[in-house]
This record gives sequence, C-alpha cells and structure tokens, in this order.
Amino acid sequence: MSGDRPATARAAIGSTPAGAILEVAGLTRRFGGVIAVNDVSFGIVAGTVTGLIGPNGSGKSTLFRLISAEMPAHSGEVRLRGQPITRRSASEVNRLGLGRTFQLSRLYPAMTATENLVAVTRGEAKHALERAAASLDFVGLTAVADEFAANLSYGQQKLLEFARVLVNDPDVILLDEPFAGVNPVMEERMVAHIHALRDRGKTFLITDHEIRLIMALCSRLIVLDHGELLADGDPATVRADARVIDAYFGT
Amino acid sequence: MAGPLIADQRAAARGQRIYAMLLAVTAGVIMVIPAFGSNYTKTFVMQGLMSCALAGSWNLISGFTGYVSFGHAAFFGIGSYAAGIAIVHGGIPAPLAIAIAGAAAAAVGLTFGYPALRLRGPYFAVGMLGVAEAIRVAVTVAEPVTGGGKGLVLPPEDVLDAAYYAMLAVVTTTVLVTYRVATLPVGLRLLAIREDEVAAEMNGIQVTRLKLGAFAVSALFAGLAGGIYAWQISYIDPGTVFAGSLTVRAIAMTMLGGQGTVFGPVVGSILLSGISEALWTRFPFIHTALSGVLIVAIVLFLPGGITQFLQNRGWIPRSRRL
Repeated sequence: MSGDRPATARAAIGSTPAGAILEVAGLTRRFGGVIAVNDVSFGIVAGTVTGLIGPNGSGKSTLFRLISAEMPAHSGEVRLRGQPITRRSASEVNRLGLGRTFQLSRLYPAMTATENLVAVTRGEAKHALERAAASLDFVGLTAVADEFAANLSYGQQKLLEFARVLVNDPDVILLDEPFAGVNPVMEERMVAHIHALRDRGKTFLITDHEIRLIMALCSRLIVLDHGELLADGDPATVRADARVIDAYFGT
Repeated sequence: MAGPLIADQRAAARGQRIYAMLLAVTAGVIMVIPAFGSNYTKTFVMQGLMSCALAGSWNLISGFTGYVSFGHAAFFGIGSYAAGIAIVHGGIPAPLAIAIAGAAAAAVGLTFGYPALRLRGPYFAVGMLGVAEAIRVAVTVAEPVTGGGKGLVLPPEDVLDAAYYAMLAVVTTTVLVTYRVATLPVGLRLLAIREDEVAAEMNGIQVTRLKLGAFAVSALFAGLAGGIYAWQISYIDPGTVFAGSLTVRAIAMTMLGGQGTVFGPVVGSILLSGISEALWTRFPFIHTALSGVLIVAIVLFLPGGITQFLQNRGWIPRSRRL
C-alpha cells in the first residue's frame, strides 16, 4: 500500500508474535490528502506494556482511534484475541475488553467521581457501587469520590479516567498520554498502577512524550513517523536506532 | 466547590423534608380540587398538569441526554389526533383511544428518532422542529381523516373530572418513571450521553439504544397527554395541538425546575403555570412578553434551575433522587 519502502524493511519491524492478544494488520486511514496512518501492522502479547512513540502528527492518536473503533479505518484490520473488531462499534469493542483513555481527559464533568464510574459499570446494578469504590480506591481517589469530576485537579482527572477504564476489567488498555501535565507524585503512582496491572496479566499500549517514563515502563517500543512504522523493538535498541534519533529523539 | 460539610448535610436533610412536604401538599390539593374547585380552577390546574406532563416528557429525552428537542409538540399533536380519529372514525372508547394515542406517538418517536438522533446539538433541535412542522402540514393536508385546517370535532362529553385524573395519572407515572431511571445506573448512562457522548460510547455505553429508548418513552407520555387533551376539549386543530408554544413552555418549565432531575419539571410547571396565570389576568396584553423575559432571566441567572440553585446553597442534598 505504501509502496515507497522495500518490503524487506517492513518485514523486520511490526512483527506480530504468535498468540498476540491485539493485532493490527495493514491499518490505513486518510484525512483528505493526508495519510495519517499508513499500512501499519504489529501485534502485542498479553501481559506486556508496549510504548507507541513518535513526533507530533505522526499518527499515534489516529491509530488509537482506529484500534478503539472511534473512527473507521480505510483499510486493514484490528483483531482482539484473534477476533476481528474493525467493523464493530466503539461500544462493542469496549465490551469485548478493550478500554482506552483520551489525550485530554473526557470525563462526565457534572457527575461525581463515583457516578462517572457507575455510569459505565456493566453487570448487576447492585454491585456497581462496590466496583466503582474499589476502582477509585485502586487509583487513590477515595477521598474525592463524591466530588464533581469538573472540580478535580488535572492529575486527579487523569486518574479518574484511568479508574473508569479499569472498572469493567478490560484485558487490553490503551493510554493516550497518561503522563502529560501530571506532577511527579501522580506520575509515580500511575507507573505503579500500570506495573501492578501488568503483573495481573493486563496488556497496555501507551503513547507519551515522557521518554524517560516510557523507557522505564515499556518492554517494547513501536515508533511511528508520518503515519508509518519506523522502528519496533526493545527500548535500548530503539533508542540507538539512527532513524528514530533522526525523526524523534534529536541529538 | 467542595461537597457539603456535616453541618450543611443536616440543613440539607431538613431542606429536603420541606421540599418533599411542599410537593406532597401540592399533590394533595391537586387530588381534591375536582371535589371542591370551580370549573375555572379545575381547567386551570388541568392545564398545569398537561404542561407538567409535557415538561416531564421533554425532560426524559432532552434533560437527561442533552438532545434538546424543539419539536416536542409533535408527539402531543400526534396523540391528540390519534385519539381524536380513533374516537370519531373508529367509535373506540376513550380509554382505549388514549392508549392508542400514546402508542402512536411512541411509534412515530421511534421512526423519526432513529435518523434524527444521529444529529447532534443544534442540528437535532432544528431537525425536530422540522419534523414537527412536517407532521403538522401532513395532518392539515389529510383532510378526509383529520378534518384538515378546520379541525376535528369529537362528540362533546362532560369529562373534565375524568380527564383531570387521567392527566394527573400521566404526570404521576412520568415522575415515577423518571425517579426509577434517575436512581438506577441507566439514569447516569443517559446523563453521561449529555456530558460526553463520545466518552460514553468509548466506555461501552450503548448510546444509540438508550437515546432511542428514552425518546420513545418521552414520546409515549406526550402522546398520552395529547390524547387526554383531545378527549376533554372535544375539538382539536393542527394550529393548537402542534403549537410551538407547547414545546417552549415545556422547555421553560424544565429549565426553571432543573433539567435531568426528577422533580425539576414538576417544580417548574407549578411555578410557571402560577406565574403566567397571574401575569395573564393582570397584564392581558403583555403577559407573553413578560413570560419571555422570565425565560431569559432563568437562562441567565439560574442555568441549572431551581434544583441546582438549592443544592449549591446546601439547602437540599446533592441527590439524583430530587
């Protein structure tokens, strides 16, 4: 589809390990003349944390939107546990066990922290409150459970959005810039939460520009540039990749 | 803005009791009016109940999901005509005709809701205005069945008391349904659609199904109110039952009381019915203009309605039950 790069270069990156829980195959999305995501393929294994990095406008957010079915892809496929989810609605994809947060938190501002969670909690209504409380407790927001989301600090809003994703216990979690604008204490908490969940078998795909955190957090990095996969591998290798340094890290 | 302090909670609980007592007293007075009230009083309260049913119905879709409909009178009008036609052409007894009115409005709600609820914000509001107008014109044109612009005359019967209680039953049911919705997660899901529809969808809320369901239930209650109105007034014409002013009043009442709350439409319709009656009797020539000024004032100074105003003051609790 992209055609301008030799097929051998592509085979080296964007590998899909056997038994990947989330697979992206040849995903492409255009906006008018701009190809935001161009024939991107990769797969990620359950119980791992993968970083998706790249310069602004490289297609990270669009890729997130395609994977979570917020917008349709022009071609290609996304599979969750081997099952194609590309044609499903965003709501169905979430119900199949894929949750995501947004670059700018999208909470329900005139609802309390607890209500933000109860609103999306599936299963029996009588357990919704307990589950919301447990999720708030996990991210350390119990003290502000009855506060309106609009009144929470920026960092608290990020944590609340994270708690809202967790309340339905998804297997795959996409975090869009979870560290942007978050203070160091909150950062540390977030990292601890992600590690704890990974150890329980949850799978993460995370974008962020906080490279220090991403390097420490992820066992694998996928680099996007101009909508195409530029590199894919363990953090040290990617960090040393001349093309990645050129496109993203700088000198 | 912190949550209420412990001391405030005690005050809020007291406020809630007063609030509940006022509503209970009003309900009691409304119950006994047919036994003691004059025909003027009965007609006036009946009008208020009708407005309250429409406000409560509008609140279910627009107050909760934020899909503000400017064409809600369409469902009232459809209910009126469905009942009228069933009685006049079908010789169907009134209670059944009124049930048909509700069903017809709900069916039309589902039919038009499916495409219309894909529109958002002002596009939906104006789209519904168009739907209401199109239905009004269709009813006007279908003269052999509807009587066209000349209207439809029903067999005149003195049913004011029966219609009064029927309307009260619709209002009560609307409030009970709203209460049930508001105290279950489904109420929060509807509010989540209002707050951020994309974030609702992305968190697994079945947005389309919920919106359509709320819209159909909302239309059902408006249709029932329309059916009862036609039965009682025994003459309907498109200009009256599809009047935009019916929608505007429902919106104003709900906004005054509090959108997306249980008792907001009730409080709003009691106050606005009382105020507009007082204005109408004292200032017969400018009462509509004064009502308009009042609506502007509500939007400017009480954007969350009376319910939120009392809650912000800590006079009643921040509870979705109110």
